[in-house]
Amino acid sequence: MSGSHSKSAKDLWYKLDLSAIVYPTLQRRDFSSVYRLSVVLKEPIRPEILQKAVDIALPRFPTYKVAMRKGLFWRFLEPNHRPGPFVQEDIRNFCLPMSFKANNRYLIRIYYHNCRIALEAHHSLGDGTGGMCLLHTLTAVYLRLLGHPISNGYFVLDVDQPPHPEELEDAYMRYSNAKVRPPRPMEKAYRIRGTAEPFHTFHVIDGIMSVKNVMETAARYKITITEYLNSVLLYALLQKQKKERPFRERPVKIAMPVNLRRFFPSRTLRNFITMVYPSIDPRLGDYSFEEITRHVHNYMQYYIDEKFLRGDITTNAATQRHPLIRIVPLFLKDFVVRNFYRRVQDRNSSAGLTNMGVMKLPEDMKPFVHRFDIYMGIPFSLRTNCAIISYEDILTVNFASCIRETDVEQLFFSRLVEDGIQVTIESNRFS
Amino acid sequence: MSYCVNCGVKLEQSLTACPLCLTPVINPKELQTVPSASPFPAAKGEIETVKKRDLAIWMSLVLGATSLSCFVLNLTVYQGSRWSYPVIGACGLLWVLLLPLMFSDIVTWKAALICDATAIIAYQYMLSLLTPTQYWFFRLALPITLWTFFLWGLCVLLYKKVSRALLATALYFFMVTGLLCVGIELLIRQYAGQTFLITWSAIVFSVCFVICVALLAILSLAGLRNTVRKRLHF
Repeated sequence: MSGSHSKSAKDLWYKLDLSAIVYPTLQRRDFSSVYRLSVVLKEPIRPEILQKAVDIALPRFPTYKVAMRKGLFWRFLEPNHRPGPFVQEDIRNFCLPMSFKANNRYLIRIYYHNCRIALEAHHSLGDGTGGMCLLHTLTAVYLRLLGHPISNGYFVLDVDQPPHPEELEDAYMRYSNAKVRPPRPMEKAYRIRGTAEPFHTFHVIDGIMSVKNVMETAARYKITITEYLNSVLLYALLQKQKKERPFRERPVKIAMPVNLRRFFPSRTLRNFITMVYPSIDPRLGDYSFEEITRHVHNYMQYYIDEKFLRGDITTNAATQRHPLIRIVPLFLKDFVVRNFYRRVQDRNSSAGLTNMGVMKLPEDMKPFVHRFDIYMGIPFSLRTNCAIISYEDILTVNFASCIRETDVEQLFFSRLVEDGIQVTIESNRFS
Repeated sequence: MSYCVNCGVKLEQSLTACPLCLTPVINPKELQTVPSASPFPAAKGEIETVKKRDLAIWMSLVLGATSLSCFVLNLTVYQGSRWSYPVIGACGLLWVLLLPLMFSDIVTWKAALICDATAIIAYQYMLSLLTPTQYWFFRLALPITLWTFFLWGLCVLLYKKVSRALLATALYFFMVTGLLCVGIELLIRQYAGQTFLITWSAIVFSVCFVICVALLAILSLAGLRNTVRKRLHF
């Protein structure tokens, strides 16, 4: 079991994986790296059954039933045997910051509202794929408790089997073995300057559309859905920057996580992603939408490649492996990492975009599920984050922000409408 | 279900305005219809407050043990003077100052401010009892402490209730600094029996006044504020 050391159940603990190390250092009173995944079923949720499903499903995911602890040099995860986590009625301003000491020290929350089951997890535990495995398994167990026979498969794991050791591994360490370490991109990107909303405010705007419709539109530009939506977001950001008439223009960049499981076989339920930054530099001239799509397509073809990604994770892992860095006390590491993130990493992109891709379910589970949603959570700085997920013929684009302005969302969806895509908007702003 | 006339997107039934462009939803055919339920819950959540009881117990034990051991030492070994009283008082004062950290869920900023002021005044009074005269306490320490806490309270009040913007905070800071220096100089002069006028504090006050006027101008002129923000953004 890579990244964990076991003597007995009592002494079990897990090292934080390479990505997870960063998230706790960024923790503020008004910010936690929390993401939210939700599934909308076709019948209203029964909370008492959902609680039973949580109690059955969660032990199958030992790295999600944990508490965050501090060591002298690093943080670590320790199995949490406290009561909970308890299901609760959903709230309007979800993705609230998650204190490590609140909620009986659990780093996940489970909500229900009408037909929706929502899972919120701290990014230190795992990425969207890991969280989605937990949500799918939890939903399958819930449906089984209601008397529906649901088989295992895809993200639905067998709750009667112990977890596979590979599910708990830090897969970065297995694959960070490139011979060179390419430098990180450091150029400052255009930053959205929004008006901050009061604490406890979380705005979401969901765009629901047909997968077929979007796919046809993307095919018109000879690109994939991810490339098309990336291009639309870049286009929206470029338009916004242009409208602001800045003193000095900056490149517009999107931070996009790439699921490394596609390139490096691993069953890990922990973090296994790396970031790529598709960008457009308006200082080189005005880009038409077609030029943006071509640029994004070429970027993705070139950089989302096993060799490049291996080099990228090797660069990241080298910092953690450096003997001098390892012996620096945790509070100093926190100080340096927090400042580096605030001054460099956060300024490296204008917005975030993640595509969870197509959700596949066992055939006998499909009739009970209507759609999925994914939210990247409260952004670290005043900007907007975009997350995409699709199931059957429903593609959902979820924007999440803590700012008053909605220019980026408006420009984004207006472009989709211009391209002939019918978009239905849901939001917690005016409903 | 309506469409936004501005953005062209279809809007979910419960929306009363387009969330993208804020255009109100008016469907001439559905003017009388009852608004439908939102897919989002109405209730807003709050963060669970973490009780830092461990820190409170630890701080209380450490400060209590320090006070007690000093008192016992003063009583049994080093009996020459009442040297343990200032130490015990300092421990008590530190405990009160750390109250917001230990009981952040109970102690409000107003309560913390009053507690801090009371504790500092009580400590100064205790020190004055150990000196031959209490004149310095009543004529100098007490007025300066009250004036400082009054201005500090005013500053926090403005920050909490008026604006938390960087420029506004700078304005409060310079305003309070100017007034504090003037107050301190006047009180020192009164204590020393000198003429009631300001000298060095007048320079500080003038500098602060100029800065305040400049900040007020920036704050009140939206165009100027935007230019400063644009030119100085980092």
